[in-house]
Amino acid sequence: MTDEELAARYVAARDPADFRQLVDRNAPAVLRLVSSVLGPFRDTDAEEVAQDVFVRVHARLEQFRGEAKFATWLYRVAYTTAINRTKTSRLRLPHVAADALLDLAANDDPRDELLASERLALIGAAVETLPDLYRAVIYLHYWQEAGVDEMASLLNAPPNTIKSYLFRARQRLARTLTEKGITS
Amino acid sequence: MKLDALLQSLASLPRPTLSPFFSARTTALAHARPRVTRSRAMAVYWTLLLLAGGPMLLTSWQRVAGVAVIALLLRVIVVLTPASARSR
Repeated sequence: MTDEELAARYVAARDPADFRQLVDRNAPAVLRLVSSVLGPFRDTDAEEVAQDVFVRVHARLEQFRGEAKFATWLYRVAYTTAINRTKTSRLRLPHVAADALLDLAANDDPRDELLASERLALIGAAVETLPDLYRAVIYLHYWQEAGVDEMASLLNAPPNTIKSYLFRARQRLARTLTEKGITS
Repeated sequence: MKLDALLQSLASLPRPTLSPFFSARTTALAHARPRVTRSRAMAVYWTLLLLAGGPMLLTSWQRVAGVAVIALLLRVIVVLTPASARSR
């Protein structure tokens, strides 16, 4: 049974098992998308937002008429909800905690450890300067290791558009890092 | 330092995972919340508007307009009242 059929059956019969199945099927993808918008070290936030996404979708499920794919509709809600969360949470916290990046790079060789932590701190800070969509694309591709097709599905854009976002995001990052004298 | 090397290092960051009872908890939470929360407040708003504006219009020279407005507001209230609240 497709997600669309399952959603229609849930709206008709209101069997919680059907909704739970929709959550089971789609939660991993929603978490990947949401955490790419929020950034690393936001595990608790990411799960909270993912939960909020499904609660919102549940509240509006009757409005879903099956014209678009259920996943497309769900990912759009997920992206918007996560963007809204970044806008409120950035007032309180830095997006990527530099200390967390430094702690993470634990390595046997102190020189490697220093280099790895430095890399992560630099790229983390540079990614922070990107617009929301470019930041999500960079995190999806390089952190979550999502392919272009998966990104296209999550962000509801054609693969060529995703490639262009990726290209432009990399260009911006290169410019930022070159200006700071980090990359040549 | 090369941009690619910097970007590749992001893959070493931990990725969030869902807690074991995520689906069960989310399903329970979704069912616990009313389906349309904002509509209830809107229904109250439209009802008050109906009570205040309806008689005023009916007593004015625009009696037909008053009846039409009352009918329209009643329809708005029915549409905006949450489905879950109506079925209970």
